[in-house]
Amino acid sequence: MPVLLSLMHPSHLISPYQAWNLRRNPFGELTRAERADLAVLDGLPAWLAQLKKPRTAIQFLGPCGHGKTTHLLALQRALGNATYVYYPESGCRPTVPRARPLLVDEAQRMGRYNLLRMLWGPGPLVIATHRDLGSSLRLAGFETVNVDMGAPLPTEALLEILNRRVTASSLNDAEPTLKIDFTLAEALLRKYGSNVRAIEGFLYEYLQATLSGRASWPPAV
Amino acid sequence: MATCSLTIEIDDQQKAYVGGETVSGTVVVRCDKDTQCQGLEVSTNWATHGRGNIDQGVGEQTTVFSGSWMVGQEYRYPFQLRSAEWPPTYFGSFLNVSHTVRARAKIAWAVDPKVEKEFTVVATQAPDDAQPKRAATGSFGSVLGWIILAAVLAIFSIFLLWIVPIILVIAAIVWFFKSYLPKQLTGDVVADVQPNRVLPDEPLNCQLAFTPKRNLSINGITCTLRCIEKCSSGSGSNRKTHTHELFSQVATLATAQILPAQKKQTFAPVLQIPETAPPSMKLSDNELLWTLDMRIDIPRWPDWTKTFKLAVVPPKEPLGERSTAATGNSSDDDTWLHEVLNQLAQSSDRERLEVILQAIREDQFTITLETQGTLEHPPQLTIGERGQWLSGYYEPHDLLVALFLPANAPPPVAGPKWRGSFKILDFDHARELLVLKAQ
Repeated sequence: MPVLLSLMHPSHLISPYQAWNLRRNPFGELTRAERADLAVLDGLPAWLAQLKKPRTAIQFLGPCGHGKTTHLLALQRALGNATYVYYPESGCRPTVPRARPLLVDEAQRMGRYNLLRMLWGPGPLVIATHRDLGSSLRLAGFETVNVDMGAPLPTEALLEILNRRVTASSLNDAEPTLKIDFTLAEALLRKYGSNVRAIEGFLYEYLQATLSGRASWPPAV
Repeated sequence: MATCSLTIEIDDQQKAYVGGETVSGTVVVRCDKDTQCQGLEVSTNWATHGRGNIDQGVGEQTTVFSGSWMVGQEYRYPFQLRSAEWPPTYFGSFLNVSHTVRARAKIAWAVDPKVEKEFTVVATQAPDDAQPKRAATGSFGSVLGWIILAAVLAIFSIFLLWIVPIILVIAAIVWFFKSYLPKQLTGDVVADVQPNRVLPDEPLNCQLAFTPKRNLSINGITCTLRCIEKCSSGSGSNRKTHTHELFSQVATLATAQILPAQKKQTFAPVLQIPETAPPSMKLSDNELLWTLDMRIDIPRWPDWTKTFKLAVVPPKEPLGERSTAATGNSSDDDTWLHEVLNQLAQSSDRERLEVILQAIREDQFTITLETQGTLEHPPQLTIGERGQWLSGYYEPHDLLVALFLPANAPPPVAGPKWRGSFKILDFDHARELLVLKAQ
């Protein structure tokens, strides 16, 4: 009777993803741990070597949706003992921790007091920001590496980012039937630039439309 | 690299477990070298996935083993764990809730091998906070609450005096357009919905009464029952709310007309919650909302509107024990048809096929077929009435179709497309042919 039972379920109890060997839509939100696991960081060995120096800083500079927080979370994972602090848009601003290495997300919101406190303290520092704080870091004596997150993303990197998500969303031991190919990745970069969040948002909705029969895969971008 | 592989076998994978019910199964471990396990943890979990930030929780967790595993051996560890009671399994568009059994082997100086397996959970009761809040009616507690709120605001307003006039002006503008102006034409409006905690397939009794102060021209009066997925992603300035309308049913209570002055207008529509309605859910960053909106649409004037939040609660009877009528309404649902056709396509075994055909024999589906004239070799089926066989093609599933059109059925519309209601009679695997009978 199990088949009969499964047929009696309303559609909201039946996973539409299983038919694609997936357990979820790969382009949805992830936990922080998953974001760190799936991050694609080409410069990781060089950055880790850089962060061994005491008075050094890495600045990830770019607009929203370009992977700054994901880079920070992956570096936190790689460093093992680093402290991560996030500055919210409103409400209480956390005091800059003394612990180092220190990773500061949304550093442009730190405020003057916290920024000075960070600059007067030791390194190494890793910051993600929308506003260039490189000159302040250099003035404070930090050897600064600037990573431009707004720069064009290579097609291979986007392919890797998206297909890692697909693989991580596949059912146990099953080969996912969904693949992002080079042509699609190129088309997505042409349309959305390096805004990975916008690309994932588009793919999420398109895959949902495909699963419900309103569209067919792959998308014509 | 990997020293151990874990597999989870759930005893009854196809079953829809009632929230809180025990899930039993076995964790199977195989190692490719001798391994010291510091703990094999097994747990039941739920997590959302989709466009919103992830909400998650644990049902029950236990450690079923710690010790040594030898290379080449297979180890089996049975488990029995209670599933989380709430939220139930749900697959929507922006919001999904999955329940899983997870196993993780803690191994020193190595990446912990882990595995998870999904199972279905249905709820038979909603948490108490699913009850929508009614406007307070002046109890002592509520009065005390307002006094405390006023005191806190008074203290803060000393420091934020500059913001108070701005808030007051915005509130006054909203009140003026949303409440004052519409009431100048409609008079006081009495609106209510009963019950506000409702089961699937239950009626909603709505009430709307007002006496226009003068002749009132309207575009219409409507009641709209909606189900919306509302998910928030990111935080701070990056926070974004995504909404998706899952269901919408509009009842028109009055069409465009002029309502006479001083004549009481009363409407009492009854709306029906769908049989297969998913229950209301409110998690941290993900919400499934049922609402009922009433609107008096006034031309060239702000409309009178009121929104009621509803709590659709799950039926007390477990789903597996409900009759097939439970899915009766979904026969015109594309997803249901999609699932049925998938099941049929996967059922090459005749016995399994019969079970499915038996289960859906009363279901009717409505689709559009491409017809290709009379079928030359009709299936060997006894229909018991006169009619003709047509050959067709169902494009979404790439299936050939043999369609039986009874003599008393309306003739097909001229052209290559045929749209209508039908029942599924059979599925011929050898010819990949879906056999349908028009209704």
